[in-house]
Amino acid sequence: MPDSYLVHVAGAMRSYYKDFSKYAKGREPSQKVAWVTSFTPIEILDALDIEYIYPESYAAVIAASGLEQPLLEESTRQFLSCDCCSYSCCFEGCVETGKGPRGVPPRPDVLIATNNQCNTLPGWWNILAKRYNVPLIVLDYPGEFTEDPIARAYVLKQHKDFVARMEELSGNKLDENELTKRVENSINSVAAWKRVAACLKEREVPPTLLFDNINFLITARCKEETALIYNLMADEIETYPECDKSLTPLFWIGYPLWYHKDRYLTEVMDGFRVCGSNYITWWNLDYEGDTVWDKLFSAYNNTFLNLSQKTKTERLSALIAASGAKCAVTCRNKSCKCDYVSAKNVGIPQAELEVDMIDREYMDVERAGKLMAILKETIG
Amino acid sequence: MSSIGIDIGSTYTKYCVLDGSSIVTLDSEKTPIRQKEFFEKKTAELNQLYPGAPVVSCGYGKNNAGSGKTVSELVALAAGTGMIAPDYNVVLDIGGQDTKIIVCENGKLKEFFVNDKCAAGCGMFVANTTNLLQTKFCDISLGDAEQPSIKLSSTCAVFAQSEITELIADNAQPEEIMRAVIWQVLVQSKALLGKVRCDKILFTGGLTQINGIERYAASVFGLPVTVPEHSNYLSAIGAAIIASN
Repeated sequence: MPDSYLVHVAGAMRSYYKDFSKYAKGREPSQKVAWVTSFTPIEILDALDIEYIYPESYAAVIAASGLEQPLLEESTRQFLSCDCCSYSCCFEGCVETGKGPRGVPPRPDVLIATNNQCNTLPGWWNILAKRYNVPLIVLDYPGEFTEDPIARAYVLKQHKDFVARMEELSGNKLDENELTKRVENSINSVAAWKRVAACLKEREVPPTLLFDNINFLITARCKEETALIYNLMADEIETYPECDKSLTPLFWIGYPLWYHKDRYLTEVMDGFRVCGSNYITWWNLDYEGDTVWDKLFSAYNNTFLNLSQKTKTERLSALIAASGAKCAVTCRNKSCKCDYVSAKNVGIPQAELEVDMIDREYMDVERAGKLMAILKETIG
Repeated sequence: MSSIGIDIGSTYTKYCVLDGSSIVTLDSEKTPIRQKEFFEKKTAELNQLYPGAPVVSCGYGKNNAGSGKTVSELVALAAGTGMIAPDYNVVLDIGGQDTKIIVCENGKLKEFFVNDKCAAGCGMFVANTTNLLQTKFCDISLGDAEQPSIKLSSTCAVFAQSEITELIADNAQPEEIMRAVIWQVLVQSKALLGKVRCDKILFTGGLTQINGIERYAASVFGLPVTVPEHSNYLSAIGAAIIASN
């Protein structure tokens, strides 16, 4: 019987969440724990045997489990306005109540925020640092806005300082060979994921599969088994039948809707098929350079949201063109405008839908249906 | 051969009868409450007047129009623009309940952006203000003004209403309050305009009936603004064109 990716997916999920229910009952983790944002150089943490937890990803899991509403309410009642990032509200509700679909994450020993994505995160992490009374490290990536040699030296210094602090926390000494191995794993994960994502254009692949499984590229890109999972997945879905070419190819701009059973609005998309999405490319980090430090700089300094608007527009346009999309859905997200603001001059007809990635109450299906009907008429 | 376009908007319903590409009649009336009953009778009357003329409806109440095809008002607006102002490819339409920006080419809709959530960006805000100021929409005039002497600080129509009440209490001139409100509606629309590339704007919809709006809008947008002939009828005209096809 051929090796199925599903077995490995189940194993990886078990491994990530295995002790969450115990943590909810007060169990202490065996390793030091960092809570990280999703574009943190986790290769360094992994090489130092520090466990890393992604609050944003867990918020998505909570919504996918249908448990987000009471937690959002609890968070609003405690202190966070419902206008804040709904990932933060949902997660805060979880840690406040001690309730989550798989338990709660282990208490952090350190918080690591990066500014190479949404800039709400350092603010949110600041709140968390006060709540848990633990150190907060903010890694500053200047992106395209600083000339390369200066930015490279600036980030290198931060990475080295970061290593020193994490060595101190974990009591372990960084072995650069181990770090190199993790970076190689990340490179392999990205390459394998690109194989998977490429199938969306031509094959009968439900976008749900990609929206859900990109999770490993976010939370475990530097683990060896991630590339294995994705290569097995690609082997399988590359054999799927060709997609129905009579349907209008549509590009999904924005987050998946985590509360939705399909993660996107299948109920208003008759006649359309999703042939591409920017979300599934966000973690295709570009580890370029000769040394491991250069590779880390390249990957984390040049994340999509850390690029200039000009480059973002070029990248998004290239992605849309490569997908063959004739139209797009642009999510005007209630609590996160990163995608919406980035999606300028998309160049194809689009329907802007008012949604939120976590809060299902913000969705107006009837209105979305009307806009999709206009989009259909626009395409003709 | 005649063709009929009906644009059933939130406040007014507009009718257009075309003979080929010539406009035979343009007419409008308040959109009634019992729409289905009303428009079934109305289309029957039109069918008697113009036997065999195909009918296409658009707008909020399009599904109540009885017989005939329905299209989106944006598709119809693009078609109407193609006939009335073919040199323009960006149209801003401010209606009673929403504001739309469309990009069109040769009468075909290419892109669209709609604001139907923020009341401060649509005509209903102006209509409500006329009630507060005990004036009529048809009496509003901006004259030669390029901007108001007072500005509303609220970006929400609900809060702005309180601000207007305070201005009335402070004896501000009703004309100035109205100018401030219209300025605010246009400022809200400007956000939508940022979504498209344009060097000139065709301005349509109910708000264009206000005297002096063209100059005023140009001042807000910083771009040349043109209010075309039949500016409130472009969707109805477009629907009639689609019917004739």
